[in-house]
Amino acid sequence: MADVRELRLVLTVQDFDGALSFYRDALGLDVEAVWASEGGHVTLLSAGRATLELVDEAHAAEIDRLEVGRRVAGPVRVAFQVPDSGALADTLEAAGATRIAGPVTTPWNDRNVRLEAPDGTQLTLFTPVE
Amino acid sequence: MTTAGAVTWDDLLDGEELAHVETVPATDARIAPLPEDLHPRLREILPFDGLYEHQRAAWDAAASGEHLILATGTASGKSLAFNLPVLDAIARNPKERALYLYPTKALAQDQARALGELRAPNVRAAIYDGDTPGERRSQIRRWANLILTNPDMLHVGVLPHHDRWADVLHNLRYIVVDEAHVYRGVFGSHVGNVLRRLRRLAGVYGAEPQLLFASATIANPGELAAALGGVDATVVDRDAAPRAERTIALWNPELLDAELGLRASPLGEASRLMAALTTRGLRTICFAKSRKAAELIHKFTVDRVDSATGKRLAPYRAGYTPIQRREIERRLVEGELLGVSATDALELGIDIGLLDCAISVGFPGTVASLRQQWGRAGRRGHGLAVLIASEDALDQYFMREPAMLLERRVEAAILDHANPRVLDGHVRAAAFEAPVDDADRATLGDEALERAALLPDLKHTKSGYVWAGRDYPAGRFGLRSTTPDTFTVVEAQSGTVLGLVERERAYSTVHEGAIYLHLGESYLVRELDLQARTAVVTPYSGDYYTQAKKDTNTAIEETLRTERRCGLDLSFGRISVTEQVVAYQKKSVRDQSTLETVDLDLPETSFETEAIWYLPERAQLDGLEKMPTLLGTLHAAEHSMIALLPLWAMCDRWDIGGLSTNVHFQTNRPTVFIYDGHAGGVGITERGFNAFEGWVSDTARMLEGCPCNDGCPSCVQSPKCGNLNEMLDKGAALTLLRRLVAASTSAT
Repeated sequence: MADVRELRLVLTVQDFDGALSFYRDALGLDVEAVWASEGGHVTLLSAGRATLELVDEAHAAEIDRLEVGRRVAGPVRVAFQVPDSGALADTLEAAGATRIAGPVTTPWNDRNVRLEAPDGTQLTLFTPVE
Repeated sequence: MTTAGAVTWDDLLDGEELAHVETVPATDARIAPLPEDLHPRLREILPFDGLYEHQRAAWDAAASGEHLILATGTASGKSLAFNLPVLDAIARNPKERALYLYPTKALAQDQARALGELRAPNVRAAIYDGDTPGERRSQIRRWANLILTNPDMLHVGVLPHHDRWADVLHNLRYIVVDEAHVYRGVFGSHVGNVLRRLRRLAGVYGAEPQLLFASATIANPGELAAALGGVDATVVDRDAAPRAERTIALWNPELLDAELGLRASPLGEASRLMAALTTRGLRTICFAKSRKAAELIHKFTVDRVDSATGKRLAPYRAGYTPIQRREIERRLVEGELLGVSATDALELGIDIGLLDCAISVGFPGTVASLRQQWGRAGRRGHGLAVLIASEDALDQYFMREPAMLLERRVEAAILDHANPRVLDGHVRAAAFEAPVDDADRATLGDEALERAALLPDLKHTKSGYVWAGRDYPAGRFGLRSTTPDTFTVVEAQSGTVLGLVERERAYSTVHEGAIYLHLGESYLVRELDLQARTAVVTPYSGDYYTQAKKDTNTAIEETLRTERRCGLDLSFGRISVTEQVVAYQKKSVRDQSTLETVDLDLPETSFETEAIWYLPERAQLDGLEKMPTLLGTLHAAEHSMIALLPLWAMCDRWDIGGLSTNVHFQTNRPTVFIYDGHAGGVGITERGFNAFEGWVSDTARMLEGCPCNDGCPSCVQSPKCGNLNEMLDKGAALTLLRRLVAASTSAT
């Protein structure tokens, strides 16, 4: 058992209010804590269980091929498991995200949608299909 | 842009159904300057350069070190009023700490969002509740200076482990209690003790926090603050926020059968009105008492409108995920949705700002709730607020006496922290937390010391009463009932625990075959296991409800007050109530007809509680003294008085019980008892004692005005009568009550 207790993904965003309304309101993440430093602001959102997925270049290319059809992701992609990836993707699009591709069903039977958030982060929404 | 003037509803408000229509003029905001001493960084983040006068009054009280209760309307900026002093203190010194208490997680979440948006300097706010992961908890205790939590967490998760909270308690400057009017009855009585324990422990660590309460408009804010916190609080209740012009309509569905009290369906009326309003593009919310009702209104409305409008209607209920809720809220605010039908359980947590129209279907139980629902109307400078009446006695009374609803005082929120059934657990918990001695009278109250001396599991030592048990006493009881002797209601398929029911109520509400209502959803009780103390239920969508038949006896334990009132002896005191549920009836939702009576074999229960009882004089019963008229008189008087007691005390008629007898074994006379349905009592009946004359005369007016001849659900019949509404004599009850009223007026 490792000593690491939490994986926290820290996004530095240009438009803080925009990011807040995107991740908190449109994606629907609950607020856990908010704080301010001298001149700066932080909001911590709960996003379910965190995991760190390491993939090699070949697998990343394979996922991009499956989800999008071409190589698009950078070194970091943020994936959220949600109850209905298709419906939530529509909501996020309305909230300013750009849809890159999907939904598609992966060979391991997830329903995936690829989006780019307004802050530039590349997102996958996935829903395991029963 | 459409303006309010372009779309009108006037033509919808002129039918026979309209019991009353009035327009309340708009009021302008009254603005006060920002306080000179407000921290400059806060000044920058405020939306405008001034405060409403009530916000300024709150600031001034807090700045002078006073405890405070704010009781102003929906959307009057109460949050800002209590946030400002807290944020100012933290801006000056980040070591200062504040605890915010919310009755639900959803409300704490809303406040956390709002605080995040304010961007106040130095603030480190965090939610601390049952979902907070273990490793995060110690971090929050060390680091957060504004902690949002709930009373249940404070009770079991914070106070018993106060050594871990030493730094928070030592620096505790403010305790914010938002939605304080929710803390009434049993729950409120517990929370009153939790707050006293918190104040005492803060004192142990050298702090004397100020209490900032915020409440909906209620009749007794100062009293509520005193009862909940044990403090004298400055009352700020002069609402200075601007208010849109509002048309208020009381809508009484057409009377179909006067003798049965049968009226056209309020759900049908609601959908008719909602269809007309949404077709005109007016954003409308409709509040119903159950999910079933909300869904039916939605369905009927969709049937009445064109398909384009139909797509812009949605139901809104408990059980939606937060994401689904936010989505509906967003669509409503942005105008994508025109109409939403909601269960009124959700009135507190809906973040939708103002709409054009708000329709309440059935009186929601308190004037405070009704105002909260109606407070949603007024988006474009003019709102429409409607109450569609049900057949219930209180609803029908309001239809005939609009002033009683629109002009009268709001009810008082009542609780009794000193109810021994509630208090004892907290005295044990307090003794576990730190020895309880005479110096604690100031925070815990005199009654706590009296009870401490009587509790066998406390040991009297030199430093005070200490806990002599091995377990930790706060873990033994929750804040939602007066007794640990409760039944758990479990949904069979998912295994979800829906709620807890006290034993005294379990036999009449979750017996085998009962239809059990929870958050507006109906369930059928499959099994009541007396050993395991569980009721297993499954969702139910049929069209009957159930009513238990029970035998009840009362015995006077102690008479606390007796006075000559309305020409008779009226008493208040403690009684014991013994009940046995013997059968139940299945009744049709459609027309209240009895479908079937089923016998039950359940043990007797008994509990002690508070009650008032009165003994009509021989002259007052002149001509009514023969049986069965005598019993019918007393029984009908009792029912109709119970129906109106919620006008004085914020409670539900289901919280109140009654018993009438032609001869009681202790008084040897005809006697009417009206008692608090919760063991120990929470102060409801004492309210009735104090207001007896008004209570009697309003009840007489209610009976006079009801159009039936022989009694109906809108006057003397009760949906919870243990005798299944047999032996009720409306005319005779009215004669008796009139004689009481005459005696009260001739005495003055």
